Amino acid sequence: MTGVVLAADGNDDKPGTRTVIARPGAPGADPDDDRAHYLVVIDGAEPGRRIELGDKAVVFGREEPAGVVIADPLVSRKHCRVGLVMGELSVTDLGSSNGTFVAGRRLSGSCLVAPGDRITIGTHVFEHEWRSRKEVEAARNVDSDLEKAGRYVRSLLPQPIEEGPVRTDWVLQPSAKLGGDAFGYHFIDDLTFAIYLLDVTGHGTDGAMHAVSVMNVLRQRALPGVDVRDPGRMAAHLNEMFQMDRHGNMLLSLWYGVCDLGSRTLTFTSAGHHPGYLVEPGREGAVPLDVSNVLIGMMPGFEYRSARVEVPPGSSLFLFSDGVFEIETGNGRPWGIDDFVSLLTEPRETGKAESRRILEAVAARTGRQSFEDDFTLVVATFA
Amino acid sequence: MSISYEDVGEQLRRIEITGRLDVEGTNSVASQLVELTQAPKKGVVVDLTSLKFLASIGIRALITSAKAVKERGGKMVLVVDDGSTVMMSIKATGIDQLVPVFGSSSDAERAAVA
Repeated sequence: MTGVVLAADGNDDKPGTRTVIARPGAPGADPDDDRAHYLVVIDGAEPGRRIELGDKAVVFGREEPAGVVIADPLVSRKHCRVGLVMGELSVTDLGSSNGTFVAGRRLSGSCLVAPGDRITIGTHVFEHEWRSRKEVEAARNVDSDLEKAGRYVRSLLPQPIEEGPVRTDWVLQPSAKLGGDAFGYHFIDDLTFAIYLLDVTGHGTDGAMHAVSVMNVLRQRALPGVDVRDPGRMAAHLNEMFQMDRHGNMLLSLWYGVCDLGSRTLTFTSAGHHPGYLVEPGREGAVPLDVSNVLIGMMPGFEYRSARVEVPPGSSLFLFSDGVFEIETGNGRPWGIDDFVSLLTEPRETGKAESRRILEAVAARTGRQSFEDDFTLVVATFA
Repeated sequence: MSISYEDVGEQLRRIEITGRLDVEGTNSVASQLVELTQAPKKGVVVDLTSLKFLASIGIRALITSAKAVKERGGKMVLVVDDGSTVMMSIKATGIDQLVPVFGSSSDAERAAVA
């Protein structure tokens, strides 16, 4: 939800309650760092199965003697090998028939897998997590429903788009208590691209499941009686569907935009959400895309307004949740939305997705390896 | 973070929340707020000028309270410093469209019992 962080006023680290994120620099340098690499089945025969990777590489395949057996006819007998190389997760395709995909790209040979990246083998999708063992253990024991809810949300998230008129990349680092963030994007038709991000005002299983319900409406390319190309109408529709008194007093903020790639106009609405930002390729400034409306679920009958902006070639749209700027810093420096937005116009880094560059920059500037709330950032770049 | 209240005559209840209304330890304050606003008073003033941070659970509690007060025919208003981070949250989420917001407690009190 919205708000701005102040300078730190105590209330600091509580071990085992946070999610750990990737940080540039030598992994394992911190003696308190008990993070391990895991592959978690997001989609497939055993969703939620968590495989810890150690120094000894392990073969994934359809049958023994593969170390990790995956019951999937599209998986080869010896499909790929996964292990750690200098503390980073590496995957090698072993000449599989149907290929090994990392972040949506077919692998030839080996590559490193960043935390948050997905590996697809046959119909199975694994997500790479680099998390504290304590935290994984805590999550497993305390609330497997929460784990399931988190996985359900993650299974709805789209793959990054690497080619075409709109390219996308994203990070969603769920906090241990799961903050109810979700997002999506899709082409409504060849020339119309919809993109959205939502944040439920409630944590835990209920918040996540509420996010799932709303996502299942947003993911439709057509809805009876609603023009999905009209962000104001879309927000009004959701508002009527999800009034708080019928939905466990839960509210949500939403940013929803539809880009007409032919006319290069982006129409958007913000329902109680902070602005999205548009950055032109020259990176001279970040333009806030804001329209003032109320949270979804708060006032029945509210008429949501939308606004329109031109999208110059090469510009990028940044959508994010408040977890990226409501951070109590570990170094006493204040951190707020303006500090976060200033990162958007910093230069790109070759070979690194924008979302990851920014995540790493936030971790470095705030002195935090883990965040209290979900950290969600989606970047869409228009050709 | 704490919550306190004071009844001013028969008509008005003043509630003050101080500290950070965010997730850690907010549950109890949020439910106390909802409870305190349910007193059979005509007007309820919620003073947030000493609040440093307003996160989602606090936003929910404010909205739930305001709706319930309205339902029983009362009126809830907020006191918030203009330009504060709390005010930014209130505007961004549109709470100000549901609950009148004032910069001074005297204005707020007058409006609450008007």
